This record gives sequence, structure tokens and C-alpha cells, in this order.
Amino acid sequence: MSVFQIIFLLMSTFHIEVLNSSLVGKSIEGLPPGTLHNVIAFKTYSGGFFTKEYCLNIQAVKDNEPGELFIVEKESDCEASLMNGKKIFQLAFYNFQLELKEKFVLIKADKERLQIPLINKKYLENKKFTSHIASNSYGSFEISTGLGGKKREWLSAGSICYQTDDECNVIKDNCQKCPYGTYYIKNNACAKSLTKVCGIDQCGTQNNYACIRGPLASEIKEYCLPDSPYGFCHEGLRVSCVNKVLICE
Amino acid sequence: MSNNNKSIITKLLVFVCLILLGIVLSQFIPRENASKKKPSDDFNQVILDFAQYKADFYQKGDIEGEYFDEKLNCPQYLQKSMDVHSSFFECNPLFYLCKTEGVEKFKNYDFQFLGYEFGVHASFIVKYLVAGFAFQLKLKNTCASTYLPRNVYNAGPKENSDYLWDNSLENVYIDKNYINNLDVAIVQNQKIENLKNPHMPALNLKRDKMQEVCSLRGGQLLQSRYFDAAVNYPSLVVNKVIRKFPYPWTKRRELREEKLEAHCLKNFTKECDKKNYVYHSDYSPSWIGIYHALGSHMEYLDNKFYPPANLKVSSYLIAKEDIWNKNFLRGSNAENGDIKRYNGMNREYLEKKEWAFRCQYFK
Repeated sequence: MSVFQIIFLLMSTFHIEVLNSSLVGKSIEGLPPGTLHNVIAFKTYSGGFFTKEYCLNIQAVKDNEPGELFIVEKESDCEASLMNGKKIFQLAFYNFQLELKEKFVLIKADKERLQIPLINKKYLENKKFTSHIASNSYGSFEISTGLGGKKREWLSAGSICYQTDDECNVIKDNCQKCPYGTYYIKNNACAKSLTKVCGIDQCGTQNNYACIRGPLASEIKEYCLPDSPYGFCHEGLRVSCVNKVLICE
Repeated sequence: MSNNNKSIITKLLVFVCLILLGIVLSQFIPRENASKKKPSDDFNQVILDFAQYKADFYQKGDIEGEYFDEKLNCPQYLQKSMDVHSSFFECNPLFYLCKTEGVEKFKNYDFQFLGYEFGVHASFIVKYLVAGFAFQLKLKNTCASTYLPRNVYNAGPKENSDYLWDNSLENVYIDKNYINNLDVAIVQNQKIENLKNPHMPALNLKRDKMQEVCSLRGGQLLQSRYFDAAVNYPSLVVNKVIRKFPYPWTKRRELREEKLEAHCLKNFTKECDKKNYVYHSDYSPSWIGIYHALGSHMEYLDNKFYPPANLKVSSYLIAKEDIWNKNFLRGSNAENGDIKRYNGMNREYLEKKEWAFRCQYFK
């Protein structure tokens, strides 16, 4: 969708919901690199009595890679759209700021200025932490109602918490549920990421995961080999590839 | 009195009785718990602003220099005359509690401090009550670690490529300072009032214990190759050859002549007077901003390439011109750890050993 199309689509917004007020009206420097965030949700008229909702999300700048503003059509909720939503508009940025005014939304992404007029806007809602933000994160802090905090289901040590398939599609991403540290292992052919496991890193020891030497240092394309240089083990042990997992034997 | 009037009075009495009964019964109807009150949007905003203010305060620490000006009086949290650097007070629950009053006025609301505890990954949870509404803030420690850029690195003291590796697919953060007694108490969710020497490094813990502390902080015990990467001044990689420099703060191969005072500010070695040691300080900074790259305390490092070579020997126990006061070289914390092959020199360090440690985080 072009800039013109997205402005035209969102012009009919009659309800705006601020999903993370810490990302509105101020600089967003300091976000953890590469992390995904909901910013605001638009409720629009799509002809007659029908309405449609869209979520404006961002991915923070990561190292030298730009961040990304992306808009998706809301399905169940905006949180779910972060990972799986179909992006109808994307815009790369290194510097991003979103301002919410009475009559327009202004998005500054580097030199781009997107001004979305709000010709229908009737209601602006700042999400209440009594409902949505039962336990919400604002970078350096989280706020919860009540005094007990939100009960979470924790992963046990040894559980895989981040994984892609061989084509780099993310199939698991819940390392925030790991009460311990996490560490990397190699168990699929995706060249862009490693799998993460919850617990204490015991790599290199017998019958444990191989430690990761890395793709640049090993200079190989096919990692799953006997004595694969992609991994390494303690002296006297050899790297094996068993069921696509690099281990030490 | 006519029957008609009597009937009206009776009806009035019944009506009044019903109202009184209603009032009495209403006292027994369960009310919403104070913490479940639903605040308005404006009120929410005040709480969010308060939370942001508190998070900033926690991060910034003692920017007014109150501890050093002796303006603080909270001996249960901050003992006097600690030889510490001001960075010790950043993301420090002791400083936060020292500066926390029972009731705090913020934007015309009274925020009553209810208590604290420690959550997962060493987060500091503070609890407040405002206008009958209870909430808690989980303050994250965003001060402790720094990012290791993605690159190809070469670990160990040898110039060959045996220990070449890269972190091109990893997000790695490394603690800038040693884990201290306060950090250990926090992950064990202990009360931190009257904690002895909270600012001093936790020394000589067993490997399992160090791993446990780092794991509860959400990380791993710092590995030797990551430490090497963090302290070796980066240079252009030509034909996969990574230049190695003996000192973290310069590309020179020899130490410059300088006054002892200046040397000790940069690299706290045996020549320096231990009485002047400042804890949580910025001695021997590396290119990514971790400290104690050389000197200060010996440090345990988890060496995945060569496990016995697990001790950074350079410390306040080692003279500045000593062979051990250089990057990459390792001793062993075990009595008979064979590290000659790792260092490529026929020498071992067999004198007094003690070790601090720190953690790294894969985020």
C-alpha cells in the first residue's frame, strides 16, 4: 500500500486507542534493539455501517539495521498482530516519532512526514492499565495493578524458547517466560538466527549442545556435518549433528 | 383522627422503616476491595507519570552526590564511608530505599510506600497505595550491562585461528562491573537492610554458585571468549587475522611511563595502595565499556574452548610489569590446572588466588 493509500484509509478513523503511551509524543530512543511494540490502534469506517481496525506497530532499530513502522489489519487484538499480522504498510526508519493531535496524527520517520487527517475522530482512548495494562512494560519498568503481580507460567530449564524453521519463519518466541538466563544452540538451517534455550549454558560437555563458533568464523553454508566447524566442544569430544542438532559426543 | 389519616401515618412509618432497613442492610453488602477500584484516565496518567519518575530516579541514582556530601542518613541501607564510585548508586535498591519516604506527594496525590521485594532477573519491585488504589512497579536493572557488537573475534593469547569465533547472530550484553554482595542478596530475594559490605565483589564462590547467581539474573557466567572480545581494542580484520593488543586501553604494545597515581586510576595493580581502592569503579575500561579489563580483582571466566584456563590473573595482587598483567592470558583457579598449552608459554601462576565474577546476557 502506498503512502497516499494508507493516509486515505486511516482518514476515516473515528476511534484511536493508545496502546503504549510511552511511544507517543516523545523520542523512542533506548528501546531494546529489534524489539516489537504496539503503538496505537485505529478504528475506521470501511463503508456503510462496517468498521475496520488497524494496528500501528514498530520494530526498534537493531545495530545497523533500520527499525520498521508497520500497519496490520487487527484480528483478535493488536498484540497478536505483532508477530503474525499481515503488513499492509511498511516504512523503515532510524529515527521515529509519533504525535497525536486533535485533528491529525503525525508520523516522523527520518525525513518522511506522514500526516493523517482525522476527519471523523470522536473518541481518543488511552488504554487503562486496569484492563489492558494489567502488567504492561514501558522499557525500564512494568506496572501492575494489585500487589501480587500477574501470575505467569514459567518455562523450565532446558526448554527451547525461541526457534525458527529452516526457512527462518518464527515458530516459537517466548523467552520472556524463562525465569533463568537463555543460551544459543544450532538446530536448524536458518542462516539468520539461532535457537535459544532456557537455563544454564553447559555447551561443549559430553552429550550436551555444542558451543557456537558462528557462521562467519566457520565459513560454511551447510552446518549439519560430522565435526562441523560451526560448533565446538571441549577437548577430547567431537561435534556431531544428531536430528539436525549440533551436540558434543 | 380519621381512619384515612391513620392509614397515611401507617404507610409513612412503613416507608421510613423500609428506608432504615435498607441503610442497615447496605452495610452488609460486600464492597469492592480498595485495590480493585477502577481509576479514571486522568488518575491513570498520574500513576504512569509517577512510575516513569520513579524508574528514572532508580536509573540515575545519586546524581546530586548526596552520599559523598554525607547528606544521607539511612545506616540500615547505606553504611557510611564506603569507598565506592557514584555508579554504585545507579539501579541500586539500597539508594532507592534510602531516599523513599513513607508517603510521597506527587501531582497532588499521596503515594504511600508499602514495601518491596525482588522479582525474576533481579528486578526490584516496589509497592504503593494511592487514593485507595494499590499497584506495584517492577523496576528493571538497565544500568549493569553493555552491548558487545556483532563481529568476528579471536580468543586466547595465541595469534593462530584455533579460537576464532563470531557473534554475528547473537545479542550479547556483558556486566560492566563485578557481581557484588548486594547483587547476590537480590537474586536470593533476601532482605537487604544492614547487609554487610554490599559494594564489595562476591569473591571465591564455587562455579555452580556463580552460574546460579548469573542464571537468576537472567544471564550466564561470563565466558572467556566474550571477555577477550570485550577487552581487545578492535581493528580491521584482514584475511581473518585479528590483531591482539596486550592492553585494553591502547594499541601500543608497551606500557607508557606515567606517575603511579595516574596508573592506579587506570589499572589498579600491586603497586597501588589497596586502601585507596574504589569499589564499583571504572578502572581499566575496555572499548565496549566494561571495567576491570586488567587489574582490580582476579576474575573467574568460563572458558568453553579450554576449561582449565578460567582465571584472569591480572589484579591488585600482580605488578604492572608482570607477564600476567596482559590481555588474554589465563591462570586456573584449580591447584593443578594445566594452562601452559593455552597460554603458549611455559609458566603457571601458583601464588595467591581469589576471584570475582560477572555475568553476560543473551537477549
